[in-house]
Amino acid sequence: MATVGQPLTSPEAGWRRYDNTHPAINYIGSWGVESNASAYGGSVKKVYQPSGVNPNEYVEFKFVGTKIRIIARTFSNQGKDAIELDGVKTVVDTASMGNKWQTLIYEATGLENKVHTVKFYNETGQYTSGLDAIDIDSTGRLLHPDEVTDIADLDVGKRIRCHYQASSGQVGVFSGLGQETSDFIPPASSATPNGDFYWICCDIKNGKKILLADRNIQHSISWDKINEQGMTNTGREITF
Amino acid sequence: MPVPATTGQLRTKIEDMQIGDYYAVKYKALTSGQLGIFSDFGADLATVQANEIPVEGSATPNGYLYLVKVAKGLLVSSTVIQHSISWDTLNARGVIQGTPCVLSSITDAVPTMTSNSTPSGIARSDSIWSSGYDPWKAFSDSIDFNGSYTTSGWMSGTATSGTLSTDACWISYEFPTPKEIKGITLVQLGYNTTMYRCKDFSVQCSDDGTTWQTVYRGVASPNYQKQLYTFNSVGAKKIWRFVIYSHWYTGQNAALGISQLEFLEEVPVIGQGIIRSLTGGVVYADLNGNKSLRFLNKSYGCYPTNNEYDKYINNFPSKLIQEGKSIDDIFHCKNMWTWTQDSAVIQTVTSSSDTTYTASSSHRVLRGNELAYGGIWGDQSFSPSNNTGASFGFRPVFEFVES
Repeated sequence: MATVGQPLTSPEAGWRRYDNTHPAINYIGSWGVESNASAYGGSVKKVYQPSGVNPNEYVEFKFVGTKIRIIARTFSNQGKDAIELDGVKTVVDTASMGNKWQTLIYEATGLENKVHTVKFYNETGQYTSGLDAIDIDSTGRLLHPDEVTDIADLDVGKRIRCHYQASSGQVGVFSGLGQETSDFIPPASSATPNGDFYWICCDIKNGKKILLADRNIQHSISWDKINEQGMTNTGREITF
Repeated sequence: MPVPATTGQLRTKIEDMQIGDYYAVKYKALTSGQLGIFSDFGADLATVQANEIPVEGSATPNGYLYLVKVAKGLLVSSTVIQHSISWDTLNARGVIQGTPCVLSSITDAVPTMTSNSTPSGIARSDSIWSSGYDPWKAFSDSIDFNGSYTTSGWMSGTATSGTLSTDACWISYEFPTPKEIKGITLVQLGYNTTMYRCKDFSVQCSDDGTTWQTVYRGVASPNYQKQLYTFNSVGAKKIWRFVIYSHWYTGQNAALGISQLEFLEEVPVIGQGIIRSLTGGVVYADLNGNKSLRFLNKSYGCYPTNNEYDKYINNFPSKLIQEGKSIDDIFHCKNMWTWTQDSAVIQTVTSSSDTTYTASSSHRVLRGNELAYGGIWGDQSFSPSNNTGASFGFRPVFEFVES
């Protein structure tokens, strides 16, 4: 049984782990990366605030589910972390947990099964602990703070998840609008993508929502191939 | 050209338009193969009918065209207005995918000037290039259409390159009584060069010609259509001026020029929109809307079938067409091809009589002219982007944000 203050290097049964680099986790401000083989996924992210706590530097995400655990790199010289779950603040004294990797620093269970919002920030001292991973229900889902799951809820600045799969050099298939189908397509793109990305709503013009992908979803494909599918100027209708 | 045979009517205000209504705009291109300029938005029927662009277009159009409202915020020209102009030229001027343009009738507080002090007020500038380029020329409501050295605009005497001294180069108008100005429109000088074109600028006002208040600072577009800049009112002031801080052209020393400058008392309702061309699809479509490399039937349209040419022209709502009339009586498309945004699929296509034609990467899609070649290619064709001819050309689309 996992204990707060002790390492938890893999999710327990009924839980699912998301690395701190997951695109749904939104880092506001200057968060530094600390790479170490002992970290889950090889790195943690933390904020350095030598001039005192900066309210403009925080981490935000949402999740759907009934429980959450935060995994972090703890160190004896760091300050306290603040965690707000649906606006209710808990202060965690991670320094007292000692010098550890993949420490379970926070846990909340028995929540209503719905969308919850989480905010993580520095409460005291110069550093937060190093944010390493998030565990939620194995049937749950992590959501970006601006993410919606129904296209009708899209407004400028909001985003919706989508899946794209293609063979090299060929236009592929879009599917799973609003759903979590798989991991994300790498930010550096892929010749044979089979992953998720976000459509970001950039404009609403004459009742039409203009959505732009948050990454190049496919490389090593010619403009001519994309044009053959009518996707350069006219635009091809796709149905989900 | 008769008015479009829709069940709608001519409107002089864009905001009054329903789908099927039309709106008139003047277009003047005095040089064949060069893009002209749009002006006189929202002209009335008598003015328009006295000087319509012919239904088959012209190499040097100089008259009015009708824009038919086909969807929210979208107006399509009832004709190909200019032929003998290449896709490449249209693209270089931004009107394939879209260039900003002022889309509404607006109120110019300055009268049509015929000298620096006639009929009223005083036009001034820091300098002039020579006699004939006086400041009143920018307030004469006549726009430069012929490139570099026409005298239908103002040109400064300061031949410099790059950034100018602060407030060194300007053109002003002094009203007989103070006016509350809320915006300007600007038409740069010359269509075929960025020479003379203003870049960084401000709008300033003054009561005494000595103390100036800056009300707007911005960067003008180098494009050759009318551009609009609006700002919050600072109250009624007697003298208003346009101050230039840098050139678009950096190749060599050059004067600065303005074809037309307007000081606006009322901000237009619609404001800025874009001029562009239609999308037209990339190849034929079959009955199911899938791609076809063979012409089967015009009514199947082109792929993707949601292209604008099929959606708004070929499928113009029949209930909005006058009885006994056809789409050709609205869009005059049967005997003319329209350049579209699209590039043709690089493959060989087959006509209904089994002849073939192969597109390369330079081919752009033309739509219309279904009677050409005995109708064996339907209303889709493609042509090298640098090609010009009297049977194909520019059909403008105006797009704006409609609340």
